[in-house]
Amino acid sequence: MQPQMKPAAAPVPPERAPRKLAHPRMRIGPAIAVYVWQYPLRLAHWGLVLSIGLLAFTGYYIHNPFIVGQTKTTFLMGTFRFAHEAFAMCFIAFFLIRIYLFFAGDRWVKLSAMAPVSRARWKEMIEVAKFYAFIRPRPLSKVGHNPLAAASYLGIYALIFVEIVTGLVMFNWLAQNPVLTVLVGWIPGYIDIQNIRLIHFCLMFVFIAFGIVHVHMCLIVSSAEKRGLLDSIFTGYKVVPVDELEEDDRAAIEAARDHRVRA
Amino acid sequence: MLAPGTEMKDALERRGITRRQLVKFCSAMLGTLALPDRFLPQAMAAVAKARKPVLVWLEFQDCAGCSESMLRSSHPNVGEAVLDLLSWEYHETIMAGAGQAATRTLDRVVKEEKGKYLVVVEGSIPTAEGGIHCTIGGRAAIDIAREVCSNAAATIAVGACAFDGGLVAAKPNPTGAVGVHEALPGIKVINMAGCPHNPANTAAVLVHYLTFNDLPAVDQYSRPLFAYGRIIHDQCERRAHFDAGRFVTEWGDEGHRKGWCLYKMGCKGPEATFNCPIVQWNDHTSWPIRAGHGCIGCASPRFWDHMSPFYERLPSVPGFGVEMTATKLGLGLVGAALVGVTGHGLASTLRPAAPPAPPPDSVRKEN
Repeated sequence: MQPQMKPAAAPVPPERAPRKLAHPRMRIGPAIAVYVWQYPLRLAHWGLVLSIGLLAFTGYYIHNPFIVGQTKTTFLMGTFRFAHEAFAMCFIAFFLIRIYLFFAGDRWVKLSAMAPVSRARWKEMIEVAKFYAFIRPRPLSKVGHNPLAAASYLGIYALIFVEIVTGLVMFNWLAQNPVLTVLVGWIPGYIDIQNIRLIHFCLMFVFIAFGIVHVHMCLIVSSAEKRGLLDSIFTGYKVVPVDELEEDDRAAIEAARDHRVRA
Repeated sequence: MLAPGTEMKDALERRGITRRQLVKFCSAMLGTLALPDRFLPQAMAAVAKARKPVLVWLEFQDCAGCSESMLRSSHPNVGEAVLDLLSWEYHETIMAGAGQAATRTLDRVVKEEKGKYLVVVEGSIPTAEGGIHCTIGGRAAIDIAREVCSNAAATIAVGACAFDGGLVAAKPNPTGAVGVHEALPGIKVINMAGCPHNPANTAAVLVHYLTFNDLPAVDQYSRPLFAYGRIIHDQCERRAHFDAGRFVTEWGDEGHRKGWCLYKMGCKGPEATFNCPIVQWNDHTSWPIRAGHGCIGCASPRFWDHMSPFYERLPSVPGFGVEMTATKLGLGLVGAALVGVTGHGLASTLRPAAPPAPPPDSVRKEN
């Protein structure tokens, strides 16, 4: 028996012991920085954030012009409408980047990695919800999105699609663009233009409410799991304990590293 | 009344209408139709040589407002229109005949002028309970319409009610009212939507028919494009105030007295298509927005249901009652999100420290 046992690890010299510096709830062990969010994804994310904010502000002015021009030279509504339409075009571009990444992005942002398609993912969604409901002590840590977050993002992307389509219907109502008429011109025949406006307006509040909850969840999870979740949307990197990496995660990281070494 | 078959030129001369007046009338009609002036000789010849086509005006579930509007038409004025331009054989509101005599006239037109006469329909057609909610001389409106319209050269539906049911078909539509197009599928109808129709447009359609022996180009709702092809907002005389951001915020305020944009008062000009701002009403006297009232989109499909509330920008949110606006609902949602995350965040500070993480082997099992 005795010879089969591995030799015990050498005791850490007291002067080099890092125990005092480590956070009491943090696991000590090897961890690596994983490049989870490629820069096109972060570009799309921040582009969507910025354009939603500006679109909400200019869009609310268009709904309810809260500043009434008093001088003869103002061009308020014209400016707000121009800004709204210009940012809307940027918004569509960022959305299309994100849609492209569903198919061409890395393994954590692909549609197949986010859609709640397997029974295991539904079980994990319940585990995530349990953490938010204070039933489960630790968050369910994933290298990419947790399954509940991924499902909610897919829902938001679907609503963004509805927002873009309703916006284009209203844009085309005045612009009468032949391409847009083919794409969306048939819609007002089924949903009246006023109800299109109502949907477009109500979804704005859904996006604002989502933004509030989204930031809150990120703060809560980030502070609980201490893996740089909040940083990752700026830097792209998350810190993941090596022993938690699943086999295909590990393979993907090694492949990426080899690729970079070759390049 | 002149006999059908008299040439229009003779009829007009007999009434003391000069050639100059005819040119003016035809020019105005070409302008309304957005046709170039090279069609003027053609239109003149067509109108002058027209052998008084017979016209039948049917009224069903209506308020006679479209008839009233037509009687205020001066292009051509009522005398010309009724007596000279067309031979109006049947029109319940203005004809002298009554009862059996009137019904016989209608039957005679359908029989003798088959395939040659024009029909104007005013008012919606009920379909509930076999159409008994509107009967004339004991016959249901839908039966009369089917017989008269299917034998006509062309059918013109005037007003919102004949277009798509209008007020009568607004929720809850107890009589199952529909427009002519829906009541009589397969019959070619041109819709002169609007509450009421603009008689200048209807007269222009009649002149187009006389000139080209065909009806003008129409949009997806069978409304003539020359009248319904453009957004009111794009033609509005107050549009400059809209772009500048100068809005009426209250009835009778300074902006209202200065003629600023009525957008904030629920004007549906940006939604509605019509040529109101160009053709205007009552001999080009005025139109709703010039008179200081927002557009209610009366030429739009199902406008009573879709464009109301007329003094709000957006419809009420379904399922929340009429007092609940989309803004109130949306701010409530955002407020709930804020309260929720604040509560959850406060509760999270009380969350007990997580126990030390399990050894690596059980991590994958738990997750």
